[in-house]
Amino acid sequence: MPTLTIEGREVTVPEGTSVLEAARRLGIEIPTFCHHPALSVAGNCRMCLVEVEKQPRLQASCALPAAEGMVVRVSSEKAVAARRAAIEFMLANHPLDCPICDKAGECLLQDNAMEHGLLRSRFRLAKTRKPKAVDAGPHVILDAERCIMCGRCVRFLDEVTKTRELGIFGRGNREEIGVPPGERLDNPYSGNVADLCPVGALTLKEFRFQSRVWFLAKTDSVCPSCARGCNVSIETNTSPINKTGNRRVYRLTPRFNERVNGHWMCDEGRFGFRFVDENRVPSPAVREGGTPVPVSWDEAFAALKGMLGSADPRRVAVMLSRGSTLEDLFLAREFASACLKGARVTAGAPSDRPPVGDGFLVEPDKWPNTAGARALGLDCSEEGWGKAVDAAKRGGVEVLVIVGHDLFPVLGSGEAESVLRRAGRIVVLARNVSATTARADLLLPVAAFAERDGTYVNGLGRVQRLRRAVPPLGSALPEWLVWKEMTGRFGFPWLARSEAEVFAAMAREVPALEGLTWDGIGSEGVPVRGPAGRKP
Amino acid sequence: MAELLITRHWGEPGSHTLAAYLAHGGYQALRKALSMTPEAVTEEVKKSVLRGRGGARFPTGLKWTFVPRDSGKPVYLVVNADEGEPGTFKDRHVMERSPHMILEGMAIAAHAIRAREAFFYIRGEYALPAERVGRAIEEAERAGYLGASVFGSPFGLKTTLVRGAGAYICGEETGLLSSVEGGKGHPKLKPPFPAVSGLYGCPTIVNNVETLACLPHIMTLGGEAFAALGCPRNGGLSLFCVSGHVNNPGVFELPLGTRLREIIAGPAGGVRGGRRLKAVLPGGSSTAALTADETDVSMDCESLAALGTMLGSAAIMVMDETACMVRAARVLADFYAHESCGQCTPCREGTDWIARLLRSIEGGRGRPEDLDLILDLCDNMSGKTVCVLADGAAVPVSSIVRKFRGEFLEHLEGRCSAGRFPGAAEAAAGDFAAAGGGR
Repeated sequence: MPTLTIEGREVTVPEGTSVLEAARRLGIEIPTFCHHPALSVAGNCRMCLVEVEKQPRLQASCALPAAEGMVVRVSSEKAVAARRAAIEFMLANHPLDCPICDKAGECLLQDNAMEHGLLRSRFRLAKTRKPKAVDAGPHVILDAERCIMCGRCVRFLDEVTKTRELGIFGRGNREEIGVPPGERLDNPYSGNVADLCPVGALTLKEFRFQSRVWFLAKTDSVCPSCARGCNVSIETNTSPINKTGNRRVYRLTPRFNERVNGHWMCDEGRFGFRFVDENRVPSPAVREGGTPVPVSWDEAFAALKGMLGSADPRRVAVMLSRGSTLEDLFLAREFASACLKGARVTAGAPSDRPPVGDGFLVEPDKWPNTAGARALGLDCSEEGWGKAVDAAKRGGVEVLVIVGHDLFPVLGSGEAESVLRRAGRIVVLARNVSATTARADLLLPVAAFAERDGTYVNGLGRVQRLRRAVPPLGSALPEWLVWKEMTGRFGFPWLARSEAEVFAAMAREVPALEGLTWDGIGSEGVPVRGPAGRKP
Repeated sequence: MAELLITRHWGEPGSHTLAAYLAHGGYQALRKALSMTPEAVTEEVKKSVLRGRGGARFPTGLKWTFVPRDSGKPVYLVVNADEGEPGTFKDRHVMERSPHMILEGMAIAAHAIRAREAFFYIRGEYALPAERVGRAIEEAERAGYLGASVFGSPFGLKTTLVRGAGAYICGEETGLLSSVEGGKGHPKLKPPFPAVSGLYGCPTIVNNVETLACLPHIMTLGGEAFAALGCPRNGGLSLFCVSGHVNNPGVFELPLGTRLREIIAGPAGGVRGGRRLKAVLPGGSSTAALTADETDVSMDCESLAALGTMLGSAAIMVMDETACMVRAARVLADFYAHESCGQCTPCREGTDWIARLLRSIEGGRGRPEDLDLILDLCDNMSGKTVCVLADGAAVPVSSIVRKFRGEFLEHLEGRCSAGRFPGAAEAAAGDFAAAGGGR
């Protein structure tokens, strides 16, 4: 545990800590481009140079292990001049095309140039030309002129994904990042290189020219793409101007959580949010004479009450989804047990995506809340699901309530067709229009993950919070409110006014959640009690 | 000339063969070294005050002692035969004429550092040296001087010949190691130094060809006798490469401490055509230029450091009064811009920026403030990068700009007293070559 002095202040750090990290502990931010806590040390940007007593040369603080008695000066004249010089060198051949660069506003080169640079260029020669707008892969575009050769992307692909699609080619000022001939930057985590890139050299096709980053609001949430529950920021622009396209959610970016996803997220999760703004079910609808007719929520609730109230509960099947939050599933469970005694309730529907994981972040379980459904005691078995499907196919289901699922990709067309044809009345709670919603007798629009608060329990047994980034589109409601209203209409009013209050109720009743509080979950989540999850 | 060690038999035909080497007592120094402990060999080398002949002039024996004992990892010896410093062409001759002397020295060094495997890294352009060294390794292995068991002893040394692919930076010892490992020739961060963590993360000593060729002589003569051949703190003889405007350019084996002016006037035959001396780069292209007035200096590390320059690889590049120092600076700058590995920001951008400024000055398109800008950029590069290529690029340019500023001012006005002001076509051709010709 060496003790060293940085800017006149002493700090004791574990053996092997770099001076850069030791300074961070003191709240002293030494600027850098190439350093990244999850990647090996490259020490090549030369931005983090500091003066160390008794050493004639300036030292790269990212690569310098803290040593006992070391005296480090970050803001000495020599160190400040070296950083100013590093910025001048970086900007010399940089295109300075910030107005059309997607990185503008979150660019380390902009930030560091403002804070440490000359603000006046002495470079008056023609800038070096390099390849621009290179189609590097399905998601990533490379602009070699903007690149400052920090190599973070190359190290990520060498060390984290080990797919090695990017290399450093050429030498000296002709050196550039590139994809080897015949290769593509195509792996399930390729989007992370754009987050890692400190400048606009690597940008994402899905985000290019869509919105200035300073018009984006960030909301802490959880990716719903699989049981990993990667922590994300939902980045939204709800203003009618300053953007391209009529969207609200512009991107998901990974949010650091050491215990879940580190700094990364997969491309499937990153780019899989378009359903939030596209193809949504606009309002409740009731089928009249073969055509869906928009109705108010009050009329919709009345219709649902009518269908369920007149049916034999044993001939009612409810197909819940492990894509729903704990709050949704808890109130659905409460509704079914109080008002539909004997109904067939299953949360065992398989995903319409293949159950394949990669041993890194992508889990084979494509549902974000399987562990939550289990903790609530819901039947998540394939048998339970199969029995519900069979019952419907046999004509044994008078009212079929489908939450979230499109049966066609899940069951295949033939099977889905026979289920929907033989079921009596079909109630669908759905975000997006699908072949299944087209068959609904009663269609209820529900909120997407980005439109509501709530909790998921991920495959590691960690309960994590989603937060509302945008209001529900159209007249969609979060599912739990639908169940709350129905429970009330059946004579068992629920008083909870928010997801937080539902959670508090669950924490009293559900052993796995015992003692947990809504606020205590925080932005990084907490482990649930007992065996609901599996060990990481 | 009094005594010659490395070059003594270079005049004899077939000096590169094992037979010729054995006829002159070859491999007996190795036999002697193997009868000593590694520590005793290292001690003898320390006494010889042998300093690395690649250019850094670090004491060889001391470098060996940095190898940790009992690291649990193999120790590697790497022969640096990537001789790339402009003006330096001595290792090539040692490899062509006395390859067995290097191999004998290599085995002595391997014994001293307890290495059982060596890598002989030769620059790609060196075809004949690679052929001769390759054949010498085969001969020596067949004769039992290298290979599984040397002289039938438990000591063995496996040697692998590696050919470079044409990058100056691969002569920098960690760039060389990256290249041997199959990577791009990017120098590595130090510490850890190669002696602790080098090739494949194992303790590694990198020694220059000439350094190793000195070892058999140190074992034969004894360390103190070898040291006495040179001057204080600079042991032995050194191979001086003299090139440029002299009547008799070549490789000369001379005591360290010989005066620069005497080398030029003596073995090098004086400045060609009786012209006046203008400038000398005393230790390769990465060393500060000396003016004619500064050449009465002893060729040793300390005396040259006192003049703000270095002994380097002892490559003496001589320029007479017809040399245009603007062009000299530009040629050097172009070299470093071409050879910068590109890893570190200041070197990648600085070498190219300086070269382009010098090209525009040479062609009469410069601005007066460019001179101070060049000096400032040199300053901003020096000492701020992973390896010392940036320093090597900055030093000759800044020394020439400072010492020959008048010639730069002439070019700014469209004149050249050396008569070397390029015509428009020549300047354009120079730009073309620099922009892509050597790519």
